[in-house]
Amino acid sequence: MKNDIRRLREEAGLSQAALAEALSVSRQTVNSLENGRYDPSLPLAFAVARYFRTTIEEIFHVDA
Amino acid sequence: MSTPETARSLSDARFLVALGCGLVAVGVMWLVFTLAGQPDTATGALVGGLAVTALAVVVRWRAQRRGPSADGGFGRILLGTADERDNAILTASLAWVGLAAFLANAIGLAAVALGADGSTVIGAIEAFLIAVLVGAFVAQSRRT
Repeated sequence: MKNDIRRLREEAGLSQAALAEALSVSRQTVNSLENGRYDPSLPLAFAVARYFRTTIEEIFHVDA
Repeated sequence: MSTPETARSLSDARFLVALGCGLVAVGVMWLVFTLAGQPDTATGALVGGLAVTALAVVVRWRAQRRGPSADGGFGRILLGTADERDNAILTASLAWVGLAAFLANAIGLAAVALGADGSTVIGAIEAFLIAVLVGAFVAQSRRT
């Protein structure tokens, strides 16, 4: 599943480690999310959307 | 949701309980073999069990020393601070161990039927499954 986490993170001027700490996950998880290697659980997806003050649909895009 | 400190305290408590159970198991094994008149086996079980226990303590201590921001998934699992991705990796790895166990047991049974020593086969199966767990964990970590 593609997502805009990297773009949103860079726009916010955050490192992967800082975002990971904010979301209470590991830096590796943030890296895997950004590279599309790992799809988050629903609670984590909501946490990401809440952190960036947007909706899940604005961040995550189902592969065509 | 628990705080990282609460999770760490619970993890410490669980580790101590597991450590205690392990030491009791080692003690029981030593006692059983001693009473069965096999002092050499008893000594071997005691030394081996204590060595594994000491190794577990060292691994956990090193993981704790690196702190909660340690990048190793295995370290976070040991510390009880694993996130959802770490748990998913561990679950997938254990699933591979479960599948491998069927194969290993079948081969082990055949080996024993053909005359192989039972205790050797059991030890080989255990070593094989540990190798599968480590390999699967590394592979899943890189893929996920």
